[in-house]
Amino acid sequence: MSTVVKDTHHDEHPSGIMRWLTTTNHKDIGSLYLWFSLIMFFIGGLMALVIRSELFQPGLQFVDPQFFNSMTTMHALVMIFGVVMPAFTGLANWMIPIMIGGPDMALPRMNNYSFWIMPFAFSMLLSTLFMDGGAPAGGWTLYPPLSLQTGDAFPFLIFAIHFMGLSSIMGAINIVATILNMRAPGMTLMKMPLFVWTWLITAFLLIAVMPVLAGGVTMLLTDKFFGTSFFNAAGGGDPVMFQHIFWFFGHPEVYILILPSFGVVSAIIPTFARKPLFGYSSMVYATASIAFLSFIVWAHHMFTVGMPLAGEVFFMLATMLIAVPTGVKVFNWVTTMWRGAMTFETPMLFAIGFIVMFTIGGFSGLMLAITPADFQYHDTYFVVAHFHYVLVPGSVFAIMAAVYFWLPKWTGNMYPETLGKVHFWLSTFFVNLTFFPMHFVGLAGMPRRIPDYSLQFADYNMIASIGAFGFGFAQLIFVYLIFKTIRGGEKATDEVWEGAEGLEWTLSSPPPYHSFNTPPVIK
Amino acid sequence: MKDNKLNMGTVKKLVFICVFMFFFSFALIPLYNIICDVTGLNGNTSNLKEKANTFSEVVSSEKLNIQFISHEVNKNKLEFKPKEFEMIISPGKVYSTVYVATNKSKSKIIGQAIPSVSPNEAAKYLKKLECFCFEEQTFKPGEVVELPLYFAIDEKMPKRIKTITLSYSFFEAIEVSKKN
Amino acid sequence: MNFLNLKKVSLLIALGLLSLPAHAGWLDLNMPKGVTDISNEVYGLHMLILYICIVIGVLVFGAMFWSILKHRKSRGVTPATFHESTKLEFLWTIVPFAILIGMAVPATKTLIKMYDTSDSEIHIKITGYQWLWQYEYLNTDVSFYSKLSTPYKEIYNQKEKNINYLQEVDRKLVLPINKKIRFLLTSNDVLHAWWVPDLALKKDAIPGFINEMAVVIKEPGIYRGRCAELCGRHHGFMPIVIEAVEQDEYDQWLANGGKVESTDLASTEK
Repeated sequence: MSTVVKDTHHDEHPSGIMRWLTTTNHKDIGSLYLWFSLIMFFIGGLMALVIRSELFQPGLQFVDPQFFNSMTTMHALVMIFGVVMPAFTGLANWMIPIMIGGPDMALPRMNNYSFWIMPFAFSMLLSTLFMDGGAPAGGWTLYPPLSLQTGDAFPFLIFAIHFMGLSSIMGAINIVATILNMRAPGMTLMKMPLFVWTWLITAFLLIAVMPVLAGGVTMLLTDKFFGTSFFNAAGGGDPVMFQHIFWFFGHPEVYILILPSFGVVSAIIPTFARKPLFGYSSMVYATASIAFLSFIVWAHHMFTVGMPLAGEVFFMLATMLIAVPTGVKVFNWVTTMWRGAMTFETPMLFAIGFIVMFTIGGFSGLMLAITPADFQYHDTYFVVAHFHYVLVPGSVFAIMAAVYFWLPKWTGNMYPETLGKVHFWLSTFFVNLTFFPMHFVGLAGMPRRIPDYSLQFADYNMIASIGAFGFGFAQLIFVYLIFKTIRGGEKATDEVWEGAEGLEWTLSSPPPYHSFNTPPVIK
Repeated sequence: MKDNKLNMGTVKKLVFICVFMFFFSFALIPLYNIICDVTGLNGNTSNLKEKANTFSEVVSSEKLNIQFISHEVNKNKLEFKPKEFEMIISPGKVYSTVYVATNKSKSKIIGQAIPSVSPNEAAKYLKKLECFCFEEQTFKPGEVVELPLYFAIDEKMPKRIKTITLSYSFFEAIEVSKKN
Repeated sequence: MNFLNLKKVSLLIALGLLSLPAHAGWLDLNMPKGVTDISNEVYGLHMLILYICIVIGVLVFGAMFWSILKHRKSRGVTPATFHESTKLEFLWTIVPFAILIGMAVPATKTLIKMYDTSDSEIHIKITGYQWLWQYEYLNTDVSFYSKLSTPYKEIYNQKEKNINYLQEVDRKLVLPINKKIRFLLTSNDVLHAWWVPDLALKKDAIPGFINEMAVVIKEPGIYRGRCAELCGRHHGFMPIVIEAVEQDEYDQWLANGGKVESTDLASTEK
């Protein structure tokens, strides 16, 4: 980001490490979030590769089953809280003030805190790998009583989650405050880019549910150390209550992970189709209804706990309803592409890949909603295939699309187009090679979170493992490409993309350190 | 100055919210139990004593099966079994049965029986007038104790439920030090 | 010589790739139809929703790929400018909604059947332990533990794995066919889930609570299942094996105190 500094010689701020530690600039903090997320992506990815190596063949080869369970648990925590959430917060930090024509985030100092909490939280979480009794191995869902069997790592895990929650809530409050107060005159709510809209809704979801998670894990903590019996039947508690609490957080959480992607894709598709987004307002309403529905579907994660019939039917219907607004979004994107004049640069490729593969994940989600069939799918690799389809070629592809889309704006340099395309095609090929066979092994009866499996699942697990390594190595191209673009390359124009619309493209590439000190005029 | 006052007000409000949230998390237990009692969710039967006169004299002519089972958490220490497996009963009438506990260990056992009912819809219709599960039990070494249970099924229970299973798990009183 | 070898190797690779799906067999890759009326209904629901998804997928992706092929800038098209259409938005909200309602009706019907445990003749209590299962035939003296019998050496790759690797147990759960059997599930320590795909049964075993489910098995045979809720280190190593037999064979087995494994089916096990 040295180019950024060059352009802003008139600004006073410390240089070197102190610049990053003390920064309150939304662009700096956005970059910090994105770098952090990239590092965690590789840590979480390495854990995934440990899992896939062990599952390459039947039998126990490399790791102990307990360590395997730690890997599945930590992989999930790192990828969810350390990769997807910070990456979206980073994008929000970079883009939201620019998109709404504001000078910075509304609460810059809190912005600094909310980032710098993250490295501490994750050091604490990752340090558990070296502790007595090993890292948490009860699954990222932390279901008691199993999670209470964790060794020394337990309090570290709980406090790490508290810190992550704190950081997310502070980030979310900041984003809400920014969007509601910092818009340039004339930037009405219904004129905001969809990325800003989806983030506004996501931020409300975060504020609503992160405290629920914090409460739930605190109860786990007191159950383990202070003799309470929230989740212990022996003392009059109920282990299933934790699941209700967890999924009341957990279901909105999965929309926290996907809604900003909808915003990113809704920015990219019209740009490269050179045609305005079809149905802007219905997209906004669809996002809001998805967010609302996310609060009343949580128990579809627990169809097998033995709920009353009426409960099962209610949660089945509510879950199926979510398919309607999600469908509206997909139809709108396709209609936006219809009769446009499309070009297929890397961001567009990732966005199209997102639509196709996210929809496949949506279909398997719809299948999972059918309660009687869910009894067969629940806790199998079918579920693993489902949520990886919505998270990897879903959220992660959207993040990559966003990086390719805005990288020329951030750095002032064009990324190498051919290499970007190679990255896309390799990622797409391997991601499907990894996750598509998982549908089959799941249906055939392979439970999730097992380090070893019976012989009928062997072939497809081998294919999935090969795919996972391919996908992992393909991401090195991404890192190389980012470094290369930062260091130089073909200069990007201010508009960057031919069909680009929005305030961010009116700034120079790279934008000045402080942008929109005087609000722009909105037509 | 004015700003400072304003800030103090905000701080006070925020502190109050934090304290409130802290206690609210504890209030969740009774709240959850109330929800379970009302909905019969999770087969968590009420541990509340019913008054005998809440039952009408009308005895339904319907018959249903009630089964008694137990879960022995540590069989070698404490045997805990129902005396009879099954009864055919009419809703609205009060019946009694007995569980037998045998302390096979050489030390005193203190603990409580935790009930669960299946199907869980039936939980709110199962009324207990007297139950050993209401309080903590103490068994001396070698002691054999008969634990009585008086119960009735509310005649309002849906007719399609024909078999009810009542299960008791006997848990020893939790010691914090032991759990860690 | 060299050339020949290369040809051989590539042939082998090609054959290997081809044989991968063939080896597993297509039927093994879908949800099993199972051996109960309900499991057949569940299979039907699964296929129905799958076909609905495929049809919607073909339509949506078809339109998208058509657009990608035809409406590209390199073909010299000028972009249209249309956007917003309340009619269209209304249509694509209401049509999926109708499809979903159509899907929910049969699903609810099946669910109601699954929840009907009345008139069961045999009651079996299943208790999950870390990491084995206990089966108690209620109102009889028969009660036993059932745990993995795959040798340690097979798991650690010191011996060739047998065909039932990780899905064989020391004592099978013996059940009669054509009788309604009710299972009561609980756990002694952490959460477990008792799952047998062929019977379409899966329910959590929760310490301190009981859950129930019922089944009528239609065909004799051996059905294998697994624990389906993470329960610690050996979660992957607590299989379930059911042996469904004719009524008289079951009666005999029960009269023997459940001690004798029925011979004919047991011999096929190893």
